[in-house]
Amino acid sequence: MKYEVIIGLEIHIETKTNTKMFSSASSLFDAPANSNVSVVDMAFPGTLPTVNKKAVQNAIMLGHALNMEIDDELHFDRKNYFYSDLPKGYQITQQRRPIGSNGYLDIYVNDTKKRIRIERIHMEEDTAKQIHLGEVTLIDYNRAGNPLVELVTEPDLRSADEAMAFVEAVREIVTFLEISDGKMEEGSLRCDVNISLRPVGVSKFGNKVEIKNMNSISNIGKAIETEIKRQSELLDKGLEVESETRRYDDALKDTITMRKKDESVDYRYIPEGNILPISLSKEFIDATIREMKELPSVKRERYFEEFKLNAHEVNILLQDKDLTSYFDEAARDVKNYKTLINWVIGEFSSYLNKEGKNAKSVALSPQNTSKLVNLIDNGTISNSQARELFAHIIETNEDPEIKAKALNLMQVSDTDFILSVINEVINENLNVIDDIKAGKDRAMGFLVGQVMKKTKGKVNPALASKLMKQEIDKR
Amino acid sequence: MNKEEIRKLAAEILITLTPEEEATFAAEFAYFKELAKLLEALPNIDEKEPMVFPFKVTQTYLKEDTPEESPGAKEILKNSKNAKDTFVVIPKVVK
Amino acid sequence: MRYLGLTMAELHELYVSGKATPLDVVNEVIEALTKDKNNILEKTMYDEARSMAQSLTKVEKDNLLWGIPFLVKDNIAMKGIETTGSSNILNGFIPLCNAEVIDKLLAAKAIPVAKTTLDEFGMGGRGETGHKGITYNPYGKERTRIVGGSSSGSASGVASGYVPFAVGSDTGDSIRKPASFAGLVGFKPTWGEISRFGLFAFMPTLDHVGFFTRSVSEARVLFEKTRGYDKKDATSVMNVPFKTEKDATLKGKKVAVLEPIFALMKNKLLIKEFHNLVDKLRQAGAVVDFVPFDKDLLAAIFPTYFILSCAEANVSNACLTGIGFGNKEEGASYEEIVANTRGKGFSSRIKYRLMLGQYALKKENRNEYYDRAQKARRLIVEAVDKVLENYDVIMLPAAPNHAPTVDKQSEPHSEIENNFMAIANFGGNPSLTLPYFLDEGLPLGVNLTGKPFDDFNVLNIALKIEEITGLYNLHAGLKS
Repeated sequence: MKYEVIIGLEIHIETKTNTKMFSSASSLFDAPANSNVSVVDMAFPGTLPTVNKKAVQNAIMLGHALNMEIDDELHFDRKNYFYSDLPKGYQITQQRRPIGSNGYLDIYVNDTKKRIRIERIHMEEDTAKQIHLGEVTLIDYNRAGNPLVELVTEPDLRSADEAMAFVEAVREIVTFLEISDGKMEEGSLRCDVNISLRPVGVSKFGNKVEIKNMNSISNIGKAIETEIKRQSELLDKGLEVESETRRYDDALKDTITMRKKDESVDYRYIPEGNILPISLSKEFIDATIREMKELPSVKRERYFEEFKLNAHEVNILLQDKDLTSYFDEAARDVKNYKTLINWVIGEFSSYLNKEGKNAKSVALSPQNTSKLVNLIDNGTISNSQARELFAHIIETNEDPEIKAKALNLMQVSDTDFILSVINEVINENLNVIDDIKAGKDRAMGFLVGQVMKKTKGKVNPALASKLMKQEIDKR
Repeated sequence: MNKEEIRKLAAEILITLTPEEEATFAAEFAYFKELAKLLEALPNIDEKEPMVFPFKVTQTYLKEDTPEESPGAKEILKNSKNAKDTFVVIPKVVK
Repeated sequence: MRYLGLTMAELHELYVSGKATPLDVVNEVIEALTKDKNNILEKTMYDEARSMAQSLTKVEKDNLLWGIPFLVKDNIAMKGIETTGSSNILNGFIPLCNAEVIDKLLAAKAIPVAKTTLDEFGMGGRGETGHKGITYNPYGKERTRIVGGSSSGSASGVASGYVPFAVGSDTGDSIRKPASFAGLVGFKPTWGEISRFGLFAFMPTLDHVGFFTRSVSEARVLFEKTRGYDKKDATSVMNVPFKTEKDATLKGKKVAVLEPIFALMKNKLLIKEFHNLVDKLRQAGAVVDFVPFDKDLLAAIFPTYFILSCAEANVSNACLTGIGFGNKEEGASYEEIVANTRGKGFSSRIKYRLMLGQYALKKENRNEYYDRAQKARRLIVEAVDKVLENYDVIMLPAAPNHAPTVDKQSEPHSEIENNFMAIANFGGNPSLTLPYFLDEGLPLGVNLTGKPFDDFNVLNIALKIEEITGLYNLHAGLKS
């Protein structure tokens, strides 16, 4: 590549709380319009902001997960501008003293680890929602004041893949910590991209272009690719890239100019005089961190080191937080992690997909799943018997051991019985024996298959194979 | 300050001015500049730490995350002349 | 007119002895208010007041505020009562909840009777700029003198004797200056002591809720009743141990007079009376010193106040757009609606202040304006703290003269002596003005400013000064 791509990201995360960042109205904005709005949210004169403890705890947890220094005092500022979705005419944010600073997140692109530095995370409040209908705009203040955390990276990212990996890693963290839904398509995770190009070897940064309006991680990748192309073409022609804000258009799969950035907006920041600095004690911060849910990176390490899962298995698992929780619980009682993971990402996930269910809403408890898996492991039931048993108990949550006995789905491991069936099969297929002895090993499978057919799949296939080979060698 | 700058300043904070107000503002602004000069006279003023709050006190209160009932759309919007049903309605906003 | 011009204690005595009921008193207050000629009223609450008065049947013997009628400055929210900030942009605005101070007074069974005029949104010092026009001082010839601002209506109403107290607010001297012009006790406690929830914000770190009374002990009663931590106000101060004072005495008290400010006084009677007071304080065992103070810092007080408050008023009032609430004007777009609403609803004076404030905050200017003013604030507060390290209070005439007539503007270059009380807003110091003499029937006040959280000490010293002057429960004479 002639050009080095410099990318920085600004990510806004809606954090999960019951109430708003600075008021006690419910933060549930998916409610009838303007039903969760307090006098504070409407910016009535004389109303005052108060700081939400849970929102602060969410930010502390995120800061800790991102290896940041957590400020022990909360300071807030006002970012001033006029807009119809901003009741106070300013947004309360943290400009001078972000709650988290100087952190990093390691990402993996093509198995290469790269450390991305994070400049800051800070708390702020969301704006009202606007619905544009024909000639009018409807304003719903339910969302106004909801807690947000803004994350700003250093310009350490160098490609679309790295950017996507970073956003995915952040999404993973916030969902596993249960501090956000992290859904770009729903707006609980929003990402703005800042991108510039410079010729390789040159140290001066090119002009930065800001890209907004991407509603999925893959769109982030697409937007970056098209912007790299656009900027490269300009630079190839010897033209300058103008500093501007562009929006990604999903229909065009391209970015278009939103506004030129000749003068950056002057937000005239002043300190928030309605909130005295709030001390965060070491005990409070430590307790918050102690109560954190397990980080995906910690889980990853456990899966690789302790459970000996492979990368593919780990990735599938971690893509679905509820599946991970289910797996972790089942793993407590299971004998063989491999069998469990195969089961979970195989049969279990198929069921979830087919039924449109989520691991949290499944009736079959993790404990019973691990029992089922243990039955497979110790040969009590075969894989196909396990599938049949699963179908019976998935919605009733009956104990698999008891149900298997009741349905007579146990695998036969009685050697004498198996041998008798094997010999029966051999006698019925003497010509095949000749093939095997001539070196055609595939016929082995056919013969074992016949044993399974005769026993309606009840025989342990591994055992049948072993014994089959043994009998054939005798002949 | 010239008329153009005055109009621009008023536009920044979304207020309209009458011609008389435009004319009077120049004098107000001149006085304002004079006042600022008196700050300049303070020795080493720019090295001083800005003061935000009158004194230092230790605050620890953080609001519990327990919702309080909201007044409801009708009540909370009753002071808005733009309210229709449960929304505030304005001419379409261009981003 | 048996119940007007009485103190809380006197009314309380009447209630306890059964000689009067709250309804008796409220009816008389209402009658007097309807006849008031000084233009002090915003929205009245006569029906609500009568209703509340009627509901008070069991006298609370230990509660001096029981059944006491009062006035409220119209920048303090009251549920269901139109509250305008004396600005047309909020005509018709009805708050959904009470200010915390109001809730506390209601809980004490005091009876709010009417909202009073102010300089629009608290910006002004003469009481002339509210949307109802000039509010007059009941002292002097009828309707000839200003009462000062911004808490003009509250001051005028208490000085007329209608009610024993009124709630006001003070951002630069808006209680303590009109108190001087109206012969009242005007008390602004330490910042954060009385919750600001419900007080329309002007500049949050300078804004205070306070009171007008006609005696120091009544100010103390109100302070004790309304102070205290409010979790709805994140600047409500928690956990600061309060120093309670034993009996009030002047023995051993140390009083500092800032010499360079006093030197600016020209009114000979004022100077004489002030020295008189100093002598009496010394006789009572107080130490009174005339101390130096940096002249450049003094000159910086008003600029610091004006620049900061214009900038912050600009921000505090950015919510007034007519969109979610407010007296909306028509427009074809969001911007037009807002600009027309603000253009029509704000007075010229407010517009100038907001524009100056905007100028002071712009990137290219803020170094020399807003940022520098914040730095100057620290310098001034440090200098005041330094004086108070060795003294209980700073004492000075609250104003260089009695209330001027409406046509008389301030002397040129008199910013220092007219605005120095802002130091108590910069530092959040408790500060109280009380009358100390009458100049041909026109009152003049002296101001005491103490250390943050030393409110009771300031109240006690004021109490002793009140004993010395004998100027207790002054009012302008009740016209029948």
